[in-house]
Amino acid sequence: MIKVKVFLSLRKIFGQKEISSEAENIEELLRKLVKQYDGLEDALFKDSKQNELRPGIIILVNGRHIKWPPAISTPLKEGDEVAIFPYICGG
Amino acid sequence: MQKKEEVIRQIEESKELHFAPSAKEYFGISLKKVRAIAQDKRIPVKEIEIAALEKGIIPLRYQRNIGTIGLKGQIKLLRSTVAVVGAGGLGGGAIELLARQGIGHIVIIDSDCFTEENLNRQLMSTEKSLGKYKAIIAAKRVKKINSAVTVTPGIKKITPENAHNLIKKAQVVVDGLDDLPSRFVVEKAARDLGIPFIYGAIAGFSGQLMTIFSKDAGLSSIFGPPGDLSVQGVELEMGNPSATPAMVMAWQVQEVIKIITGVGKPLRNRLLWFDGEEGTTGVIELEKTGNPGRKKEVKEVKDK
Repeated sequence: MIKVKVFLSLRKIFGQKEISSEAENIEELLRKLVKQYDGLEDALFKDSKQNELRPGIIILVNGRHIKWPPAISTPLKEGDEVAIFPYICGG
Repeated sequence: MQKKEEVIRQIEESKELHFAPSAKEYFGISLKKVRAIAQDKRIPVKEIEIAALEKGIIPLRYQRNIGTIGLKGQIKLLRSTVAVVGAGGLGGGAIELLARQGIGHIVIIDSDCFTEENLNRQLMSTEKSLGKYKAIIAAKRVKKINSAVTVTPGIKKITPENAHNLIKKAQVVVDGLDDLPSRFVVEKAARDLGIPFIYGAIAGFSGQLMTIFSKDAGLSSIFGPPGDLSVQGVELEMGNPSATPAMVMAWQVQEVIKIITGVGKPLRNRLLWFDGEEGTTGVIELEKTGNPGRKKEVKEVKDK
């Protein structure tokens, strides 16, 4: 199982701050989650083609930043942790 | 030399026996007496406080600090310089706490003036200070809180060109900025100078912070490499309500104190998160990728 942690506006979409899922890579995981959770596609992607993330969305896999693209095919394995959150920049 | 001995004699004569909340006895010296000696000997208040602490005599204003950081810790703080870049919600609050804690020198960098939209959360702003420079108002506040603190205000917008010069005297730099590209600028300057940088950011009821040492991957471990970054985030929609900056800046100040005194474990390579709406906190462990360029550079210098 892959652990997915979400924050702020994304937590509201998920209804909880942590879920478990299964996927071979990041692309598969996100496309799967988008089908499961209403509003997630709009929160994550620029458009329905789902080729480009909205600016200001951060994805970390085991604490490592993932750039989308080109790291769309980052493989996932059992026990991996994915964190997804929007930029917060206020001071 | 004779002057120092005379100062110590006056401090010894001025000490008084006090009881800590734990009922333990200690010798303390009042602010009034510290000031009197400083004035008599024409020595800065800070130097009198340090001389007293070296003799185990606690300036009463720091008594509640000592149990956690010790006499030596307080001396280290009084001898330290901390730069705060941005004197708004995070920075303004941090400046207040740093002054109370007894940081010897605070450098304040901010080019803005207070506006009405600042009043809900920026502790340095008042109805009277609207339209005035944040750095100047903050510097005046520091002197009102703790006359031992040297304060250097700079009405400057931080840029890649001036960042190194503005923060170079500091042992630690506190992030009080409100956009991402500026944070990368300050992080780089701090990294180049080998100064720890305490990143903090807020939006709505949420906030995050992390301590970045020069060898740590830092902001790029969260945001990716600088380049096509968003300038701002969800705070544009969610705003910054009153309590959120106080929650993050208090953590940032705690990190400053830990680093300077050597007490505790800094939040390195760990992004501390809190979600005030849900009432939860958490830590995201970040990959310790380091900064290869920096490491190589250090190694090359050593090899020579």
